Amino acid sequence: MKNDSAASEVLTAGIESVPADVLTNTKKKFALPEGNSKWFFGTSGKTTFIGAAIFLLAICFLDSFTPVKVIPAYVKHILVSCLIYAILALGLNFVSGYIGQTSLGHAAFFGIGAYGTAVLMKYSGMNFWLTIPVAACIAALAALPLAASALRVKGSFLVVITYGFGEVLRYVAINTDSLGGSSGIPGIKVPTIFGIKMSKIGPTGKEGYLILCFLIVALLAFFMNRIEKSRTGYAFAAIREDEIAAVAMGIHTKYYKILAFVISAFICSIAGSIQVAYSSFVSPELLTSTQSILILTMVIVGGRRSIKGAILGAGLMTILPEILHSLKDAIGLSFDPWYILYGLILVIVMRVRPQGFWGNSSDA
Amino acid sequence: MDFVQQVINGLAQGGIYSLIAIGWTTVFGIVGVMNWTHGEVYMLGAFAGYFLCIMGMPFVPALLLSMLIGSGIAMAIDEFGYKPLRKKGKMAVAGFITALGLSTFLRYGANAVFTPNPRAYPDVIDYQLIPILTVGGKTLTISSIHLTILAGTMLIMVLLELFIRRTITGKAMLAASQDMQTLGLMGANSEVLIKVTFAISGALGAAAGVFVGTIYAINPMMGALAGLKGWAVAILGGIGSITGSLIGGLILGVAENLTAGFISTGYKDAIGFIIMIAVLLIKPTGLLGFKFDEKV
Amino acid sequence: MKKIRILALALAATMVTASVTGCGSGSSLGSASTAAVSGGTIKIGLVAPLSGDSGVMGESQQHGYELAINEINAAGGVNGKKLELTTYDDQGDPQKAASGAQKFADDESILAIGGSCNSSATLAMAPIIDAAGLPDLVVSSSSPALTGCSDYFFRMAVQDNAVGPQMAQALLDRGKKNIVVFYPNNDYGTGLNTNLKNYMEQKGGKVLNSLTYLATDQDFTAQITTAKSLNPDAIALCGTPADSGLIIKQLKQNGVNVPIIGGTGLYNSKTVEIAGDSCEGIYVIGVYVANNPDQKVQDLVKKFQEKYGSVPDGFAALAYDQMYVIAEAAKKAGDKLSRDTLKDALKETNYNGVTGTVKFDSNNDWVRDYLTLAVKGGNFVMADK
Repeated sequence: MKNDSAASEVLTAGIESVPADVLTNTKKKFALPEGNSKWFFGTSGKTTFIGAAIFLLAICFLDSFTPVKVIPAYVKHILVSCLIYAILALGLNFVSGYIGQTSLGHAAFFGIGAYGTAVLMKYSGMNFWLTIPVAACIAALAALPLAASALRVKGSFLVVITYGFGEVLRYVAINTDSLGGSSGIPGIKVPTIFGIKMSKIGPTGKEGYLILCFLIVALLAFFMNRIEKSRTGYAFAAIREDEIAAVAMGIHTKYYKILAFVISAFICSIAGSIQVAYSSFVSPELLTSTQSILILTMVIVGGRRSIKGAILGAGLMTILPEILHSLKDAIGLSFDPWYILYGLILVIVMRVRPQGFWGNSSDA
Repeated sequence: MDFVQQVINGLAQGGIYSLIAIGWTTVFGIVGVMNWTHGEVYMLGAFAGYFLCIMGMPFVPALLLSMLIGSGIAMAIDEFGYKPLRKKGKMAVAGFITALGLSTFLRYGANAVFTPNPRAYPDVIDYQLIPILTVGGKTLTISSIHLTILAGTMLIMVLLELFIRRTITGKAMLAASQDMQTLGLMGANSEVLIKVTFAISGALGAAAGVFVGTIYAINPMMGALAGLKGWAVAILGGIGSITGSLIGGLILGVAENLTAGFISTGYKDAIGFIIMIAVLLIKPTGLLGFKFDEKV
Repeated sequence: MKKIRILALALAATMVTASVTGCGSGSSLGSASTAAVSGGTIKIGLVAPLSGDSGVMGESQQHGYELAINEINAAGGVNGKKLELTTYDDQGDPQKAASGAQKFADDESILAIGGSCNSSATLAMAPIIDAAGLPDLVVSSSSPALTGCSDYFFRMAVQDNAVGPQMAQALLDRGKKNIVVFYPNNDYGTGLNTNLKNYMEQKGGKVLNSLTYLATDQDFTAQITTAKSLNPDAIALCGTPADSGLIIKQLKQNGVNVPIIGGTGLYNSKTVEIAGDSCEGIYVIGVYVANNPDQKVQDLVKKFQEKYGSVPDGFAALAYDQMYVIAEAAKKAGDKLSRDTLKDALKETNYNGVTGTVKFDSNNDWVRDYLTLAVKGGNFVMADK
């Protein structure tokens, strides 16, 4: 395989005189999941991107051509949510996929991005587009203590630390008056792009966000695909599979672990900033553990360290409740069955396909 | 004086946390799974006790029956949730996600069946303030219910320790927490041991639920936060250590009450997590725990 | 491959131009809702927490709506059309509430919606209903940030700036000047606490301490110990039944035997159920009183008890009136019934219901009077002067 030889080149580049059998073993272990170049239903990444882009633009602007509304704003609203969660899932993939640590606190970074943008826009009048990198840098800084604790503990203990981290930040948001307390900060201004308000692009005002989120997701997918095949990606894989061996091979595990957390936080924060602009509102509910658990299940159900898994997992977990909700109306159920079924889905998926839908079977 | 009273209140509150934590710690110590459903067993135990009390059953039989029901639920969770994964040897992440899924399923299932309304137990235990000490016109007090719970937790702890140290099953459990595989090779039936562990954990969870129900009110969401605090306490005390859970619970109770009383009531719940994070970073094995090496 | 790319570019280019040209007409497309009523039913949506921590509030609102709809339909409906309720459970989560509002906004058969309950969820819905021109009526969400947020937003919630002073005045009338306040750390609690405190201090009383808690808390001994050491004349509670019931119970258990007054949130049989005997003699501000001899009230209480097994709380009573307000407005709009005409008719509301005479001010808020009630024998009755 082409990828394999590239892998060994990268691996050997930094390491002198590695015994031959170690190298072959490592190569086997780090072999990329099947079909990585074939991205979706056998099509290449490029074709998938173009196909998706056409589909998306069709959804966005079909209504401009037709006299009656064909695609309801609700569908676009759900699609925006899907894409925002896809960004989050891709972000979490760095921690839960690449270095194989479970995090139940990523809603914290989502929240930092959201609150960062909201506060900067409200109190300093900063331009929305500028707040995104600023908030993301704050999130990356906030990830440092979490990353530092990941160096000391892992597994269930890290789960608890990440969970606690998210909860503590939520209490801070609730208890700080300047952050709006429990009702949050309403009335965030709609950002403009090239002088056009984001809400004025397209017939329902959601198209601008749809395209923005889509571009970010595509960019992330591309970026992550490249990372997987880079020196950094192999270092992540080595740490995930066997940390002691990774250290023995001269990989600076501490650096790479911190890097994974920082990138992850940075990406999740971007999702938060967009969420704020989109809903023009931020509240502590963005930081709840339910949110963190949802993001984690998207990654796990989709398949850890699978890029399409994260994107499709996010889509599945956002669209399913809405479908079920309509179903509930149709059959006249007195309660919303989504959460009950959500629990069951997790149990069944883990039973039938522990590695997730698009995951690597060695990953279970 | 207020300070001492807050400490006493905290100790009383901490007894409940300890009771929940012991259930977490036994399962994690022996089966190695973060049994996220423990909070839900606690909630269902509280509801079982509520319906039994409403039907007119006296408190002690109602408590014991609820504990039995809690054991049953916990064993069923293991049978249908964890056992198939254990058989496949895919316990690590799959076990954790299954636990999350089961917990969500039970919580919202209960919400659909019992409605989100809070319910209060009928007055089953006589509530009295027992004076401890009078200094300068102010009296330090502890409530009879809290005292009962604290005593109950201590009793359960002693019985559990005796069970583990003196019986063959208990010794096997202790051995299992060190090395399940070797124990299996030595002829012990690990499945039975695991079921016993879940039964004990479920019974303790349900007991905690019933106790909480008699003091406060119950609703289908009560398991979420309580379960987590239990886990925080288990970590704080050291996973696998029953004494550690007791001490951890008392520490958390006192810390919460002191925070609420003297710092800020808004951060009362956050303090538990802050302490937990600090302990984990300084001493990852907890106060009295030993080292576990596993992956989730 | 190349063909696809060219095709894609062409398509994208046309769509972008279309979008720019579509901008002008876009807004009119977005708010086109003249076809709001079709067929023989008028649909009303409800976005509310029906499960989760604030599920109780949403449930009350739903029950109030359902009862009113049953009555209206039994009496022949609105202009011969039957009312129908469809719900969306937002679990108190603003993101979900926004999805629900968007769903209903797009469904042109939905004439108006109710909800949500928590201010944060309602705030997230506000821009959506405003853009869609969908009337939204609420019975809670007292955040000042919502005042006048949209021409389509109608609020029948209790006002903190009226209830707070009334609680303070009720205490002052009874000679209680040094009080301690317990309030949950949310909009409702903080708003009520601020208004209560300001009024109390203006009138020469004193708030010794305002103690906060989380709405999901169950143990209040820490706060009660603090309160006890301050020796207050009275205690004021700004929460909801689940937390306030426990506070009342724990206050009595810890030997704090001073008068207690609660806000409108306490007017609920759950408060009495949770607090038990400790609840006897507490004062509560209410939007209506169940033992009012008025025929309308008695009918509501009787029917509600038959159907749901409890006396309707403040939310349920307000929701019940609210559905009648919607029905009256829909009747007034007559043949031209649409979201817009309904909004205009709602502004003219003058409806005499179980909770008083509903009239909206320029911000679409209902400014009203409240009753001071007391618990006697486990029931809420008018308080003695």
